[in-house]
This record gives sequence, C-alpha cells and structure tokens, in this order.
Amino acid sequence: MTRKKHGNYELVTYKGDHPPYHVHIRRDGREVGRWDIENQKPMDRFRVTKEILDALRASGYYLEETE
Amino acid sequence: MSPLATIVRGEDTAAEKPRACLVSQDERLARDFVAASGNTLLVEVKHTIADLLSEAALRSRFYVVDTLVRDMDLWPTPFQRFPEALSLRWFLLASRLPDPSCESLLPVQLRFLDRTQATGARIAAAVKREIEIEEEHHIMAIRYVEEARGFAVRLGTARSYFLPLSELPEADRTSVVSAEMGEDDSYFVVKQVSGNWFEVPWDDVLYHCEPAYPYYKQTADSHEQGDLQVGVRLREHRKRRGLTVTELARLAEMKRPNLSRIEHGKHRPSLETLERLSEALGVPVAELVRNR
Repeated sequence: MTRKKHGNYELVTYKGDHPPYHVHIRRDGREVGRWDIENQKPMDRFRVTKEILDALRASGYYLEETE
Repeated sequence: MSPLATIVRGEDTAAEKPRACLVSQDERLARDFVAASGNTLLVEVKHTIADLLSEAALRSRFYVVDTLVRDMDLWPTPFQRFPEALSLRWFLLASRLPDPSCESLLPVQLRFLDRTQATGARIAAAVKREIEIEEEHHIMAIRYVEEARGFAVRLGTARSYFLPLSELPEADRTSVVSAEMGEDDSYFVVKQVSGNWFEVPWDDVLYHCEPAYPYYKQTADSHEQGDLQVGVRLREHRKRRGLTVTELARLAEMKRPNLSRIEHGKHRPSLETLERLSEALGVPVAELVRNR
C-alpha cells in the first residue's frame, strides 16, 4: 500500500487492487471516492474539487493536458 | 457446520444505528422522515442552521438541510467553523446551491434532493443508500478457508462472499500463512509461505464476487489490450531517456526479465511497480497508464 498525503487529502493505492488502475481518495480517515487513472475520471459520485485535482496532479495521477 | 458457515455467521454484532439529522421547519416533513426511517436510523430534528453552530450539534453522521429554513443565510458557516463537518455526509433539499460562490467551502460528497419532490420516505431512502455505500467500504470479517483455498469475507453491508485464492493475480501457488485485517478495515493482507504478500481492498472483493458492482470483472480482452498499451508506452519513455532494459530495471529495483515481460504486454504490473518505473523515468504514473 502506498499513501501520499497532500493538503487535506490522502491518496491510497493497494498492491493487488483491481483494474482500471485507480487511487482511493481519503479525508479524515474516510474514503470520499476513487479516481480512475487510466481514464482520468472519478469512479464514484463525488465533486472533484480543485484541491482534489491538485493532490492527484502532485502525486502523478492526474494529467492536466490531454491529447 | 462447515468452517465457512462458522466464519460467516460467527462474528455478527449488533451495530449502532447511524445518526441522521434533519434541519427543517417543516413539521410534517420531519414527522414523515422520522416515520420512514423506522428503526434503521436514529433521527434528530433541528429547526435552524444556527442550531448546527455548536460542536455538540455535529454528532450525527448524516445531515439533511432544508434550504427553506429561515436562517439559510448562515450557510455554509458550519463548515467554516468546524472543518470536521466536511467529512460528514450532507444532503441539501434544493435543486441547486443557494449561493454558488460558496461551493469551494462545501464537502465533496454533498448531495442534492429536489425540494419540490422531497418527502420523508424519499429522504430516508437517500440516506439509507448512502449508508449502504459507506458500509460497502468496510471489511468486517475475513478468514482463509484452507479446504476451499479461498477467503470468506464479510463486508459492512452484512453481505458475505467467498473469494477463491486462484482469482487473485498477485497470489502465487504456495499456501496461505495468514489473512489479517490491515491497519484499518478497508483492506486485508494475505501472506504466503513463499514470502509473497499482497493487499485485498474492499473494492477488489466486489470486483471478483459482486455482479452488481459497476466494475465487476471486465473482459480478459480489454485487460490484455491495456497491458499491451502500458508496455508500449513504457518502452517509448525508456528509449526517450536513452536507457536499456537492464538500466531501467536497476533504477526501478526490479528484475530485468520482469520488466521485459511488462514491456511486451505479457504481465500486468501492480500500480506500485508502475510508480517505481515512473519515478525512474521522471514521468507521472498517469502518463504510463492513461487511455488515449
């Protein structure tokens, strides 16, 4: 498991998680949603705020410019 | 009784009822909500936003706020005063934010329920659905069943599943030494005789066992396609950096044949491995895996 803390959010990945490649987004110890890295979109119903995008970008899970 | 039955039935505990709070001056709505919640929710009713401005008031897990309360202008003060309010679940009885400029202050999981259609039953159903989603994220019990070579898993929804070891790509052929809860209840850790170990998070259980899960096992074809793309992209970035397979394998602390298998799309690497490779190549991991 890797945990990356950025601002109020913690991004967690598990060894052996299922496809697509994704990251679990947590705040205050609770999961707020998951981010699909392959398709660059949320996997659950939550508002992807600027703070969340900043955390994802800083951790290499979000690419701002898509071709 | 079989070992599996013991596991599934052996650790049931009476869970505390979730607390939900309705903030509304509509007495009828409040009465209907309490009635519709039945014995599954512990409901309290408050009449104003001001009632939420004390720490003791924020003791529920779920809040339903009627935007017709007389002091709605105090919204979103509770979030400014108590940052922990952001990790609670909130519903607004409205069709849109009363003041869109306050959006950045609000929880990312804020839900809207149409005020004109809101009934006690609809609100209770929405809250119960959120509880179910939340409970799905917790593994309540796990045990390895040697005879069946698989795991008996119970999630917070009280649903139990049997997950065969052979379904887990991270597992090797050796026996399982232990299967224990992780640091929190969102995953469990499997250790094998060979020294191999891996984590199984709550959603991986659903992926293998729950057909209603939106990401339930995808087709093998789409996996192979994706693995091939990752390999091609990895090779592109390696060559761009002027590295040989041996050099990149050394930088990423992995064995050369394993890297070669990944580049040829013959092995789907874990995200952890990809992160090491992306770090060695100096590119974001998303650059290696995203679909174009």
